[in-house]
Amino acid sequence: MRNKLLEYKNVAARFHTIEGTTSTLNDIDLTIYEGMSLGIVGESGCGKSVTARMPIRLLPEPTFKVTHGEVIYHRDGKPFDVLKAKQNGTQINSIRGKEISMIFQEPMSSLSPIHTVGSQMRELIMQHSDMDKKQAKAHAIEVLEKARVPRASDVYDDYTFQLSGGMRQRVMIAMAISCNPRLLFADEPTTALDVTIQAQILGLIKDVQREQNMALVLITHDLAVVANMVDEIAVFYLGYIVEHGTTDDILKNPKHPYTKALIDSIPTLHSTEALKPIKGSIPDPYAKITGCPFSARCEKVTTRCRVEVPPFVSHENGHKVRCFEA
Amino acid sequence: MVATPLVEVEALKMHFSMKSGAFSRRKGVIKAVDDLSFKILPNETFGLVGESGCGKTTVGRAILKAIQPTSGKVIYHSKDGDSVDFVPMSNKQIRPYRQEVQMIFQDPYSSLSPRMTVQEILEEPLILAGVTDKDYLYEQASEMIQQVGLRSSHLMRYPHAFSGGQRQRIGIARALITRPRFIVADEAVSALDVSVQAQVLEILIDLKNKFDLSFLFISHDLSVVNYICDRVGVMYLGRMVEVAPTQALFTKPLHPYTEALMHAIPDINERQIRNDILAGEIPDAANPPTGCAFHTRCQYAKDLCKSKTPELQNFADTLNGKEIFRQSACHFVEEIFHHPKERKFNEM
Repeated sequence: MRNKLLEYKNVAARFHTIEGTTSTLNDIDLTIYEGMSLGIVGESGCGKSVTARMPIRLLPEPTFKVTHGEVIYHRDGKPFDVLKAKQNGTQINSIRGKEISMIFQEPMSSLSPIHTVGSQMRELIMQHSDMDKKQAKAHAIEVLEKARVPRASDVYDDYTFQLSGGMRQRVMIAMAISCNPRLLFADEPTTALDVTIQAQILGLIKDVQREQNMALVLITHDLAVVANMVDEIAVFYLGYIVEHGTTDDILKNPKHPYTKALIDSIPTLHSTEALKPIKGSIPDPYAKITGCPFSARCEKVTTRCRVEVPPFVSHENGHKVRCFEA
Repeated sequence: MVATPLVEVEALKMHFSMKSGAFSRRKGVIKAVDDLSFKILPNETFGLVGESGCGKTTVGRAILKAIQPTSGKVIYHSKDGDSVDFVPMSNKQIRPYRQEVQMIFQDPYSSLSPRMTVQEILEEPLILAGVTDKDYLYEQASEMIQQVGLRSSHLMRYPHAFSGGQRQRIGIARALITRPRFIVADEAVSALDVSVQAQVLEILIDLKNKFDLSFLFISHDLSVVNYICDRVGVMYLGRMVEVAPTQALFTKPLHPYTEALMHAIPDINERQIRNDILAGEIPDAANPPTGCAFHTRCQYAKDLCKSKTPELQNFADTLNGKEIFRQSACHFVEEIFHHPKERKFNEM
């Protein structure tokens, strides 16, 4: 029996901006268990980053508003709804960066350019523990080494602009794991990196996950990146989870037309078969969409799809699909 | 090779000098591109791949003379049949050829002026080429926007009204409006989502055949290069390490760096990460390793690699029963690759 760590129950969320209201998340049902690895895959604007930022309340409130549902964090057998807690209250502060931490896409803009690597790591560590300055330094160097930063004690005194992109991402990873989190969100951790460095960083994240026995949620637009990293994949489209299952089920037996199309549009080294691009593009975020979110671009669309949102139906082996035709 | 090439790059060098000043600690020369030679044939897509900092973008910019190369030749065989070397030419002398060679940029957000309508953006290259007839300008802009899958009604809008993929199409339309013969596409699809990336790749292939174009396709994404390119050159620290027809390169690489790059690509069919192949990062270009620049990361490196820089050598090979021509810059090509065991990535 797997222990629940974080549960999204029927979550719907909106951004209210001057230009209008977006339907950012709709009917999100997702459970993250201890030690599991989950891949969240989708194109820009599908709500994948919002899903990651919601539990640690990193989104601008009240522009961002959860209109329905709850996000339950299970701690010491005492589950509570993080959405009901105060945004910067003690409850959230004790989770954010400590029990749930995050690796962002752009290491340069998420690290401080005016503090050394050491001072920003120390700040985080001292915030969440009783260590003094000296102990915090020793601990920081230790986690830098864990993140395979060469010459860790020198890098500790460097500024982030002195480091290469891959090295900055290692520092981000070191910071993220410095408080032994139970859950790590990695939001497009390798998109800005070269393929060779990407392979190194993905390998590192996987190793760190195993060593620390933490849960990992890897967010990416690239199915190939998650293919060898995670146990389960959730495919997002326009704020809906359209398909969720084990990595094998999703990649070898995709049921939703969007997942199939996504797989067909990835060029690989093994085939020179023509790509089958998905026709059309992602609609404007402020547009009102009725029916299935994918209906405008779907090849199997029926009249029913244009009026009614398909339910999220379970198939064998916990494979869930949101499509009338699946 | 019988066909006359369209573009010939010979011994191209682009060296940047680092001046010493109050804030810089170092002096010296960065050899961003060092002694690079290759040819691009008519209606061919030539891919240039490598990690950031290997000089691939600099090559594209030097060919178009967006920067002045230190030395070397860029010979272009023009529509009228004359062959010209771009390198010694002044901006004025090169202007007549600007219509024939164009560029597509990486970032669809910063490469379109936010203050011009799409129509103005598309018409500008023609106006610079001396076209004044307003009706003709509109007609051309309208035709080109449809060629890239958008509508004439889009011409009135400003770039901010378009998504990344649509903007990239506008960038392609702008490059094509002067009916060029040769286009440098620098990371043209890297900033796009996968589904949109596939659309843009299809458009490029379609237009290549329709307008008989040649491309220099610069990318770090080997899967994309495999899909769109006819031949590929692999660069490492400013030098070409391997050139081969795409299929030959991907079925049987003849350089350890190419092999390592291929192993690093995540694959949807491959459930194992192979990050053990290429350790470390690309070395500092201001202070490159001696000998073969790749020896610091090469799993086959021997003593000779540390002292002697390998030259790009020619090899004859066969592909699908046909004779092909390929090049590799590795001292131990014969030993490492002569009897290559069937490689895992061929089996699919």
